[in-house]
Amino acid sequence: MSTQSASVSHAPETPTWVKWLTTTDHKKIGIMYLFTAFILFLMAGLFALLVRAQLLSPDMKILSPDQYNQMVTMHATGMIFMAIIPMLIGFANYAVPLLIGARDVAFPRINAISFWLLPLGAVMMLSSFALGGSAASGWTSYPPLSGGFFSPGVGVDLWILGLHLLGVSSIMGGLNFIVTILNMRAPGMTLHKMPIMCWAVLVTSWLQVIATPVLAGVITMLLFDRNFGTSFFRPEQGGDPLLWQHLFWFYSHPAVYIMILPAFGIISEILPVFAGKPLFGYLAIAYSSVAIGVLGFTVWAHHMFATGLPASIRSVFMFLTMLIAVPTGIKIFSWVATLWGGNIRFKTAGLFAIAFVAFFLIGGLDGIFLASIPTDVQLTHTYWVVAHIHYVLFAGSMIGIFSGIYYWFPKMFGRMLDERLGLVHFWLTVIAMNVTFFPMHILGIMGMPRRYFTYLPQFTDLNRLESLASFVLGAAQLILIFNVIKSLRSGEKAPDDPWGGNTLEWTVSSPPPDHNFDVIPTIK
Amino acid sequence: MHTRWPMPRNLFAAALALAGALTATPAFAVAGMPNATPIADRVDGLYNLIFWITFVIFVGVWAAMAYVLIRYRYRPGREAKQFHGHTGLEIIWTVLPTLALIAISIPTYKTIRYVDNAPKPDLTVQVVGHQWFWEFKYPDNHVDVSNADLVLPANRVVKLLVSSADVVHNFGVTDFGFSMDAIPGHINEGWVYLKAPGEHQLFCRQLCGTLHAKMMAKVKVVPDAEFASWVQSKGGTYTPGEKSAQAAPQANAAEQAAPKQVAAAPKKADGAALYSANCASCHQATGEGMAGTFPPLAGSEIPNGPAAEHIKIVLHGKSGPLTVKGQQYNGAMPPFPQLSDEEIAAILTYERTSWGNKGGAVTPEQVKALR
Repeated sequence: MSTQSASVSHAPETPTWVKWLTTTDHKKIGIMYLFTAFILFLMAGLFALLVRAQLLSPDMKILSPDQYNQMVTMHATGMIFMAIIPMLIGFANYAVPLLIGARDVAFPRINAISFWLLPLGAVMMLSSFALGGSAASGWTSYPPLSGGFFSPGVGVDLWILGLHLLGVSSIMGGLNFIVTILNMRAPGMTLHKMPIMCWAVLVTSWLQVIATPVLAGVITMLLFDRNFGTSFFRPEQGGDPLLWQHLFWFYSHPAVYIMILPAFGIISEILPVFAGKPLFGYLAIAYSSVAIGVLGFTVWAHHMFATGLPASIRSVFMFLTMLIAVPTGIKIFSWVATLWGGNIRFKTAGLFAIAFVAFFLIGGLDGIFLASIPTDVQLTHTYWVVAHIHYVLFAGSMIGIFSGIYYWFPKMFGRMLDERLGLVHFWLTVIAMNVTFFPMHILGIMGMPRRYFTYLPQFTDLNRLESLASFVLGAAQLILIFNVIKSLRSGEKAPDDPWGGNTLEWTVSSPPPDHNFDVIPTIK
Repeated sequence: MHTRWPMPRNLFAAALALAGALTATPAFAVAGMPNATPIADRVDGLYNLIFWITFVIFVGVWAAMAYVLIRYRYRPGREAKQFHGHTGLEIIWTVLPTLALIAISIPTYKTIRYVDNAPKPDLTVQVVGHQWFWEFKYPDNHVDVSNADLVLPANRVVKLLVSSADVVHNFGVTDFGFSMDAIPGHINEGWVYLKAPGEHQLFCRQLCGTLHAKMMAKVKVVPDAEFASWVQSKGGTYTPGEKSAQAAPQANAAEQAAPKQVAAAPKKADGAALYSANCASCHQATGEGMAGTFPPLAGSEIPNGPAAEHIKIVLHGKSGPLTVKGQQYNGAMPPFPQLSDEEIAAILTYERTSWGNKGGAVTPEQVKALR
């Protein structure tokens, strides 16, 4: 970018930090998304480590019961809304215009607003720690516990307002990407020719646009119940706590796909590159994302199998839930087939993508137990659910994000990440992740409920093992940070196409020029 | 092509076998859990079916990946095969999982029907979740216990009616084979038939506030005769061997008699026992509360101040900022409207005359006037 601006004028150079703060360039916004969300990832991770430290033994006194509930709540809220979703949006921001051969997104300024709402929403929500304590009723925030009577502080109000800002950001971002992908593809790039990541982002964007307004509605109802005397969820006034659960999960189940579909997209770009082969079953993978997106709206009540819904209604939701396993299975099998017959290079980015397939699989399979009603009501609200969600969101989303970081870092910054440090980060993360999360299945079978700050003695050994492994998992992320800092300073210079990639971003320089393409490419 | 393996083949196979064995541990964990009810037996069977189907898929995918990663690992000069898909294969791996899901769905549906078709109950128990203790009511037997064991007869069909007095809780007994949410304004119906006497653990599984993790109780399953004497010790009646067919009309008659019985013995309300059942989980048996979380009663303003304030808090609950003995609190105490005037008077009298408090006795009339 320096070569570009130097020749433009003799006016005093805008300082770099002003350029970043005022930018509408999708690449800079993407990097700022990734940077901000990674900081928030570390924060939410720290909350998790505090939770794990409290669970080292039944009589730990690291957190008071109320602080523990706050950490549980803000760990999940932070990871979902401030870390994983924004990191994936960061990748979408950075990659999609390059992948479709566009110079930017359709609405660059709206894109900048979407980004800036993220730190604003995060600060809004986190300010509750200075104002008497954050929300402590879980990220699901079920009333009446989250209502004004049982949660009298401002924590839940700030949680709602922060979520509103993040939600508006999400809706605007979704609209932006729908328009961008539908209208700004390079000449000749039909929908069936666009890179698979764009399909994932397109479906995700629709989910954001359709589902997030429902969340906005339901948290506004809670805000009104808490502050303005309405009774949507207050049983003593004729309201119904179950109404919250229906509306909340109508958003929050699709939210899981908002968190996993872009990761599917990322590794579907990366696996073929390191296998040296085209993606197996491109159309099947693309349309299975569409199928997952559509079906995702019809399964929310599987989070409510223990609430006493009639068996007939629960059965419908159960069959629809199980149906989602089919398109998910198609993806898994297609990824394995993508590797089949290849010449597989084990670079860190590729290894993370392979690990995604191997371990997200567990999060898919242990979910089937939660789809079947009788096994669900036995396992629900236990550590089985905690295991399941972490195999989806860590072994899935986060591992996909790591894969994306190692893959696109050279393009973003023009420097290679250190492969040796990458391998150490990879192996520590994958091993510690499994030792942390797999035994949670066993705890769930043994009946240990989630969100307990203390537990019965029979749960001690596995909890201690998980806690120790979680500390390793946390520490392993420091290696990534070190690698990033070291490589930014003195990393090997990245060529335009270090991996032998097939998509358009590898045809331009690393980092790409501000306007991406001198000549908009034409796709044959 | 056949150069030396970077890792000995046996070691790699051993690592994979170990991973497979570790992944199979949930099946053994399930086998190690006792099943107290026929529902739990069926849920276990279903669990095992799903487990072995998913395990086969898991091992299949991992074996394929292991093969691919070794067989097609990078070798200079090797040409990757350029293919885009295979329709036959794609149809197979769409149809096979669908068949597997149907294989799971049929026994699942049978289990749902079994659980849903409750047999005629011999006994009804109302389970009410409170922050942070369980209350168990035996309406046909005129027994109501709080913050105590759930006592149930073996070899009887027990109907469970689960609800909540404040926030959402979850009645979860792992050995029963299911859990039920306790939602205010809703009554969630279930049933158990306990196969043998024994002891089981009840947890609250739904985050319900500060002491969620302490909201536990034991389930004591006892023979009929022992259950009858337990009911009697709680001032109720239970006829061993009484079947639901006869129980129904009697229950109606008993219901009409019940209020009179209770009304006849109101003065007997034992303040200390009621305190320990309803109040001690937060304010502690010592009345000291929990620093920063639950205000103390011992030597504090409210039990030593005007009775009316004290009564109102118990009747209507209290939420928001509060200063007690110079310390700030910002929590919530649920209301206790389910307690009778006599019971509240007994509790308050106990609180206002124990631990050095000098607030003095409270009468049921005072409570009634403020209700």
